Amino acid sequence: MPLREFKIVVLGSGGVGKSALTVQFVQGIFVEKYDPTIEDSYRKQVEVDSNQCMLEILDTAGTEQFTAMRDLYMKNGQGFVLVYSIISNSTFNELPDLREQILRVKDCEDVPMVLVGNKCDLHDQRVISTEQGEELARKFGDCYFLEASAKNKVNVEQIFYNLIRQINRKNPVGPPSKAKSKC
Amino acid sequence: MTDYPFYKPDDETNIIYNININKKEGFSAIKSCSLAKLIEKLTSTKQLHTYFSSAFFLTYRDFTTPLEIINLLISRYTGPPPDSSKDSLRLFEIEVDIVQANVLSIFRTLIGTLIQVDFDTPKLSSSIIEFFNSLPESVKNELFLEFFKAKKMARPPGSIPKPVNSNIISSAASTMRFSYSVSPKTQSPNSTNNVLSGLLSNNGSNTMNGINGTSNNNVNSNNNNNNGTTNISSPNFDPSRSSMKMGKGIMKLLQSNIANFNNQQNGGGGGGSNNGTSPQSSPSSTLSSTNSLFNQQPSLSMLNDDGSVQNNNNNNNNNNNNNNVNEISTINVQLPPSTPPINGIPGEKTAFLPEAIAKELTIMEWELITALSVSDITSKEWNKSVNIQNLTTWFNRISSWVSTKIISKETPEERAIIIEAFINIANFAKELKNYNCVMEILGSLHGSSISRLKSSWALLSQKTNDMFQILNNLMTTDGNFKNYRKILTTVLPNEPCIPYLGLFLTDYTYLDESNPSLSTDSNLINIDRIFLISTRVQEFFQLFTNCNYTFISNMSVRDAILGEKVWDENEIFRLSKIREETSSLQSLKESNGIGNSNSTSGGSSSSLVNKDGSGGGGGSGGGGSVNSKGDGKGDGKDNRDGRGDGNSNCGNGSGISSKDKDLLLSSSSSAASHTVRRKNFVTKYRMSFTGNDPLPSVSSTLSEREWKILTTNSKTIIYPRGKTVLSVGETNTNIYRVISGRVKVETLKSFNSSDADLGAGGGGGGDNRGEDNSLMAIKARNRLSLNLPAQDDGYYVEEGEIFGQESFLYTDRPMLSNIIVDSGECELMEIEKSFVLQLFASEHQLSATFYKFIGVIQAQLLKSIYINFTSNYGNGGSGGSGSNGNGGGSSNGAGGGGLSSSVSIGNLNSPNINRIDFKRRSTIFETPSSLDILRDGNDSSFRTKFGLSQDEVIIKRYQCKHNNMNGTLYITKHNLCFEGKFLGINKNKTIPFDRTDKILTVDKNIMTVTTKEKVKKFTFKSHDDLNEGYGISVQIWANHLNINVKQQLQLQQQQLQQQQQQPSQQPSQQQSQSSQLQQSVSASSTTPPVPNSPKVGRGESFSNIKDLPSKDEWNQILKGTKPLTFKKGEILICEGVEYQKMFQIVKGECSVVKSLLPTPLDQNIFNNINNNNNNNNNNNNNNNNNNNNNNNNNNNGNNNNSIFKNNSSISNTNSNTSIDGGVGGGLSPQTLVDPKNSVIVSKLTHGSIFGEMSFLLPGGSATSLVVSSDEVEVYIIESYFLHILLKSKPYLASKFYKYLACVLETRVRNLT
Repeated sequence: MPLREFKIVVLGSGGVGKSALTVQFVQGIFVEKYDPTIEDSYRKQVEVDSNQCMLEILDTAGTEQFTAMRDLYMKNGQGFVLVYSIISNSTFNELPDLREQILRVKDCEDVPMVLVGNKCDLHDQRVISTEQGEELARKFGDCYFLEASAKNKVNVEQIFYNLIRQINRKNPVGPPSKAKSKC
Repeated sequence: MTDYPFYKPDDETNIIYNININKKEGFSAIKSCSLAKLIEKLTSTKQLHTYFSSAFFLTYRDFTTPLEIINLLISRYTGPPPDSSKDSLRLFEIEVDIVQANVLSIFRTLIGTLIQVDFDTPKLSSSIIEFFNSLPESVKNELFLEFFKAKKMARPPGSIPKPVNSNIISSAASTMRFSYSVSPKTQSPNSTNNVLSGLLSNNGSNTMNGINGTSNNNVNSNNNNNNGTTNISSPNFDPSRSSMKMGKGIMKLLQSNIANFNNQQNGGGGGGSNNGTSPQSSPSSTLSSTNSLFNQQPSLSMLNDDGSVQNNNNNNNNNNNNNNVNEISTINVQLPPSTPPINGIPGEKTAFLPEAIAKELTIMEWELITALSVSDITSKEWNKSVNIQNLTTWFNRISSWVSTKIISKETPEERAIIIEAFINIANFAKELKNYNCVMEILGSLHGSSISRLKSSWALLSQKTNDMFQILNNLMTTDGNFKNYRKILTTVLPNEPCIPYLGLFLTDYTYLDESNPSLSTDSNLINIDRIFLISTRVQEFFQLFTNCNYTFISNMSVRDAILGEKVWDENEIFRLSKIREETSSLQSLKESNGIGNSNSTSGGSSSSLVNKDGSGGGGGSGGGGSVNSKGDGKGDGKDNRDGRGDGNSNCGNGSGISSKDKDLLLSSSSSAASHTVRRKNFVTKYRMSFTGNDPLPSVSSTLSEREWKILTTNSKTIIYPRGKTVLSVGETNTNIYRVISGRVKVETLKSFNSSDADLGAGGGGGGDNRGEDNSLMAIKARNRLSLNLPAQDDGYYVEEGEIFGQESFLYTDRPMLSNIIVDSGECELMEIEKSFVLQLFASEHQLSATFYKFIGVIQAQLLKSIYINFTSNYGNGGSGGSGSNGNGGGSSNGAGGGGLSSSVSIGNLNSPNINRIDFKRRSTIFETPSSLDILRDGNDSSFRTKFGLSQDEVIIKRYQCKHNNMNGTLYITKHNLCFEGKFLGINKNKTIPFDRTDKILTVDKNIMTVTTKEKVKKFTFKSHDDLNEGYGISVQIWANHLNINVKQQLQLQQQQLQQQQQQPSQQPSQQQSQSSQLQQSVSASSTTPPVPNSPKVGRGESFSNIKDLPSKDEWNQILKGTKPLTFKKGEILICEGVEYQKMFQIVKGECSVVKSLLPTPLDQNIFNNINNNNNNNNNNNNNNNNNNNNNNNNNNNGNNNNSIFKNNSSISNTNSNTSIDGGVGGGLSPQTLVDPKNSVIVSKLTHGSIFGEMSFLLPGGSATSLVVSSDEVEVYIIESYFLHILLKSKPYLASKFYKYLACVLETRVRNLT
């Protein structure tokens, strides 16, 4: 049986560590040579609740300025990771608009989504408290919220696993590929 | 013994090799190593490993500093100290020549990578200078030269603009800044002036203010630089490494290419570079080319493009220095000549084929991408890199442009055509290997605003759908863009290609962040990373290096594209919602995300029909009355077509526009044939560029046919000279149109205290009383001071024009002026208000046009009054100021402060007010629009059918049943006509009104018409239809009888109307109650804002006027706008500047300020001022003047200026506008605020709107709006948004325009 495929889009301002989260998750172990240009660079097979899943992650790192591409990037995503950096106010403040845009693109209110406060290893530089993150998650319709550190491998897998569960819950028996969220 | 860094034996502390790779493979065999080891290896080979050297310098800053390398290089050059080990000394002795030559080569490369910060490090400069001084004379001077050159060019990383592209980008940027529009003025020849000056000054200071006089030297030095280093990013890549991604054959091709290019450069350019002098000519020449990889110099990389743009400049700017051009072009091997601009007349519509557009986009994007240098990427500060910013700004702009283009079309068919055109453009772009452009277009088409337009997508032809699928498949994000990546590897080295920058930036981000520059365990330099990054960079840059597109730029296409309006993404989404309200995206979300429902038949075409039905009502222009609701698609489309053409196809009515028309007309025949026909058409479809045209909006002129309908129940009256038609105080319920002769409107005949009784809207409840009083106070003051001789005051209403319109806005409003016949004999048409209102109840389009027409009249009147302010300045009445002091002091004092209100009143004193130039004749006698021709056609066939006189037009028609026949009931001025079919035979029946005895409603849907012979029954489709049809028939019939039956019927009528209007009246009553809290009119007193109200609602309340926008309807108008806050003294609107915005004040108070100096209101004056006032922007101004002269008359979509997106103050806005050339205003803010030269006309507070005049009339704002309370919150309504909203919602439009007319009428009244 072919694997069920999950398309996940990672969004957030530049410099929040999106790529670090993605690489950390996809590679699992630390590597010194990572080529992001090959087909499998952003794919990973994982087992969630004893189901094998194939994750394909679309990371927008580097294209934050290409605002015209956002909708297109979002379009195919089934689940979204919204990342801010706990040491930057602006990255936090930009998320509500980003979420609105996702809802607009998906034309539905209930989109699988995880809110991530990254760089939680840098607590001495923290400007966004955990409570603020939780508060924002509440505003996002009780969206799943985590503080993570790609550097110290804190909560990285949890982000993606939770997202897979959300997608599964929303769309239990999707076709192996071309699974589409139903709104 | 000193610690000499080199010649240490290889071990795990300084070098780690990759397993499985032979060490002889060179650097590719090394996994990681120390910096010293790396330099040792690099300098000890006989042939310098140039590829690795270049690769290394791409990223060296990630793990070391220039200073460290310099120290190592110096140490390497001088060799081991004498007390070193014998081995070291001997090894060095063997290879000393090679090492030293290599070190110098590397030095050159390094110098090219140095930036400002480095040169500012004293240690670095001194080390280099000291080292160079120790060198032999033969190399010393040349190295010094390079060093100082580099120092001169050094700038903070990534901050170097490529002047080449300022042409495109300045326009792109200005578009972005102004969020939706660049008037062609910004692109006029003048803007290319900047290009030249930028180009000329590119060697020295970074300013763009270069002056022609200084040009030659600069250009020459530019040449020299270029000779050595033009050949960007063509380092000799290590084939063994690069072949990982590319076939060796391709590499060979590439290298031979490079060789050729170098030869050409050295031979052709002559001089300048280091070739001749270097002892090792071959390596150094290759080095000089690799040098450019790191070159920080602005214009080095793309000579060809420098040249081409320069050439364009030349074509555009005849006064440019030709020598400069020649200097440059001699170097260029391939200079694309450019065609001279064909356009010339702004406002003229142009249309181009998709291929031409794709090519021009490609040429422009080529200029942008080739300006990119490696340092832009490796600096990693992409937000600061002008070249990268240019590319992203451009990308987003073009994407928004595509959306704008689509969304500005009114009907699904028109939008489908534009979508098809863009898919074709994308397809051409794909053929040109301009993937950046493909992505821009797909980005828009997949954007939520466009992809949700289901009805439009459903109309796409199969062929286009297939094409779109192929494009989607090519650029899919799936599998890490695998298809796109694959296609890039097939691009031949000599093939020009514009890759999508975004993907490369993502790759680079990952390469940079995910590969540690130093190995975590050994702390040695990660050689893999160096190769990974350099390979990717090389692959990317190679796509657009050493090749060029062979076609030439077409300046007229370019100008057209750059002159297009581009709207903000949010606005586009709002408009998308208006365009297709139902948000049923579900079916669109097929696997590929876009509505490619392949079936254009069946379901989808039926949805088209539905859409048409509703759109038809909305789209049918001012012609209005013929179209009944049930009357289906045919008419609806035709109407739209006609109106649309009327609006946009002004100039250039050649083959193109008629082609457009053909296309659209064909769509009206039937959906199916429409699609079929278009299939063969779309690649030939010419996209028209209407950046200069006003938006399609509700017409403000009434056609003769519409007049005929409005005057159905009118009486023709002939009066002799001197006869008073209406006099002050008289209650007038009609509107009059002058058929021949003219009348004079005598305003302000005499004013006394009793006037207060006549005042605005009859003063509502107790709450209003206070305001009314203060308003009255001002009015009384004004009148007192006016003190005018009655006879000399007023204006004329000429043939074709109307009067009495004010009373049409109000119920029972007494006249404020006398109307007196001023010609020998005057023929008037007295139009019955009750009939017109009855008609308007169902004819919203006609109603909207009518109220807009009145609004425009009021706006013109107000404008003339303002002009008089100015023209009378200096004549100032002395007496007036005195009286003003008495009356006005109290009410005006608060915010007025320093501004001398006395001046204004004094000026109004002048009897010259009758000079009001009240021209609007031209707007009335228009040539009939295509819509009217169409309607006339319908009318004439109708007349023939029923044998009616030429006078008859169809006022209304309804689907009806009569004698068991389904058919159509027509209402005309004299007859009721029924056209039915019985057993396939047409049965026509005509019932003249004057032979009708009775018209009654019997049952729910039945109307009976009694003639002498018998009773005829007509069964309407709905009760609403019946009410409408009955109401109108009865009115016309009653008018025919013209006897006392009329009164009787009117009673009946009133009852009916009450029934009818109850539901709609309810909210408006509530509205007026709630708004009693609010400001009454634009008077001076402030009222507290309504608490907890998210939107303010319609501000000015007119308590006894019906059919104004309800609160809900007003919120539709405000939908999506956010309040902005301004501080005291900020200028929201600057007099003379044309704004495409309307404002509503939410909180606080603003003063309407009128400058007493001559202003742009009068264009002739305007031009003079412009020349005199704005010295700093002479070029721009000249430009503006030219354009203004051309544009004044015909458009208001033009000067879409500025306005602070982000709370910026007006002074910013001003400077922006003047820089970008879209200026309308000749007056500086300083002048405006100068109390000596300006006057506060009125105060606006909570709920008041402003900008309504500009919304109705072309030209700059007549007054300024200055914040006079501590803080003011305003909503800003984009005019184009409003135009489209109103056009699509005639019901809302009629109410809104009525409201505007009322506001304007009040303002006129308050000033006179």
